[in-house]
Amino acid sequence: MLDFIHTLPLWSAKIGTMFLFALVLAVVWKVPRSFIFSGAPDMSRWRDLRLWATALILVQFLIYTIF
Amino acid sequence: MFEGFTATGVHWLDISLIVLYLAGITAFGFYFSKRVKTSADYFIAGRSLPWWIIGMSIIGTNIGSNDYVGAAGNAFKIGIAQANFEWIGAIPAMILSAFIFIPFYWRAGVFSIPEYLGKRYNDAVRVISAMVLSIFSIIIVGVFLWATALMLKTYLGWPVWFSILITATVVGFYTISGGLGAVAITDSIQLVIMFAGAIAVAVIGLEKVGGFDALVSTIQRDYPQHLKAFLPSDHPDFPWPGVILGLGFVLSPAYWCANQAVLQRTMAAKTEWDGRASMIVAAMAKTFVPFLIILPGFLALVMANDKLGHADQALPWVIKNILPPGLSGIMFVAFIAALQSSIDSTMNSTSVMITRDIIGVLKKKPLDDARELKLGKLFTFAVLVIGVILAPLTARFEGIYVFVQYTLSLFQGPIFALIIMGILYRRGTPAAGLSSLVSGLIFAAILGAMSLNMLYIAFWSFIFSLVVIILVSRFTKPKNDTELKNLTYADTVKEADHA
Repeated sequence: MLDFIHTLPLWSAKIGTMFLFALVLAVVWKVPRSFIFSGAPDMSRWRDLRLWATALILVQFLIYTIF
Repeated sequence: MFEGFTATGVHWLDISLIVLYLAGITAFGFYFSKRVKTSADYFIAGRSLPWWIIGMSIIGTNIGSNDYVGAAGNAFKIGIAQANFEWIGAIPAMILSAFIFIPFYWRAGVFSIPEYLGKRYNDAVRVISAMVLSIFSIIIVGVFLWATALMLKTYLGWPVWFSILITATVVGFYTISGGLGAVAITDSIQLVIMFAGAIAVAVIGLEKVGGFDALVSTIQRDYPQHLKAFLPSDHPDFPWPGVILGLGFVLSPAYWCANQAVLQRTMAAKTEWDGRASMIVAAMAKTFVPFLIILPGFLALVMANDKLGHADQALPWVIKNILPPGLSGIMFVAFIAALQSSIDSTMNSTSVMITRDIIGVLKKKPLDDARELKLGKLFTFAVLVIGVILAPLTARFEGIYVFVQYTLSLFQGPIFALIIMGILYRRGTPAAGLSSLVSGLIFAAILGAMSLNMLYIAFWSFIFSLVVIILVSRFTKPKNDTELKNLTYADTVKEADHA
């Protein structure tokens, strides 16, 4: 059923990976701010976990761009 | 080369470090045991853990010594592509776990994944899933004990039985007496030791090969394929479509969003935010794990390619030939720590499932807190004893890790389908949950009997279970709004939006 995938060039693996990370990034930013801060002692900007996740995903983009 | 070696070829400094570590961890368990007063203290550390301790503990639990040896060996063989297990094969799932799954486990106030399933569907789903996960976990404890014993035998010359008993005594002491709090904090200490050992290898190893640039230049010249993240689609072990689809989309989310041993500590977070943050921190640490455990594989490739009979000898070769006494002791302690942090977490998580999700539900009268705590300690001990008995049987299976992965594939798909649909599909009914779990497990067993590849068993049993939930839910009665409070994504996010 998924045999066509095997005919794709190797660079499509990088595209697929970037797409997956972009998808996760989109999901992260769809989560409301109020839900993210739920239980946090304060609403400081550094506690916005969407920013943490964004930084993490940018590192992944960098890694897969290099390798 | 170095003076002061014992009859087993190990330097006295290394042995001292190992003994010091074992004594220190035992003393810590004794200290922590005084804090355990209730079953909530024992199973979820009284919901007191901060995000950074949980994050370190998650990675400590996740890294086994097999990762050290196996990852270095695979890096020697296939190169940086091995790191996909830590990057694409972990990070997306960890982020989703932090943002979508962990908040619901925490809000539901549960101690375990089966308990969440019980609240979301019904008690039958809770008991069956707990039984399946507990049986698997007990086998895993045996496997980990055996692996530790083999390592102690290889490096120190200790007999296997003696090594099993020493490990069981040390880990058993702090896990049984201190519960999850002791497990999480010792995991964090163990993670620091693991990273210290890996950094020592990296610094000294790079110095021996003339620096990082020299290492990269040599690999680029002699093994250019080793610096590519993805291998061709016809690669026998790691074809890129399998890595992205199998690992990235099914196996990794099933592990990071539904593994009791890993997620139990996020349920012990002092706030919902701490629970989420802990998984993001763990993902950050996970990003850098490859640089620490794959580098030895590259060092061996450059320094000893023609001297190694097997790829898995890469890390032992590096430790033996590069590290001086004292530092090789730290690396060996890191090995033991990696295994212990996996054993203690599995023991505690199995105990919570047996005590609360099986005995607690099947018993007609609810357990009082003192009895639950007593039973929790008793079952942690029982899991350890059965693990000790099962440990030598591990030797009878050829390729035990493949056996473990294969067993996992038989139930990971159906249980993950239950969780993901439980949170995201509000219409999912209790009857649909039960029929999906039972039929999904049977379907996976049939696929297994047909000798299908384990990656495909996990994938197809997951799809099958999803379809069953959707179909059966159309004809059966769902739970009402009150019963679903804090259990499904749509309602909870809507509520947070209005707040």
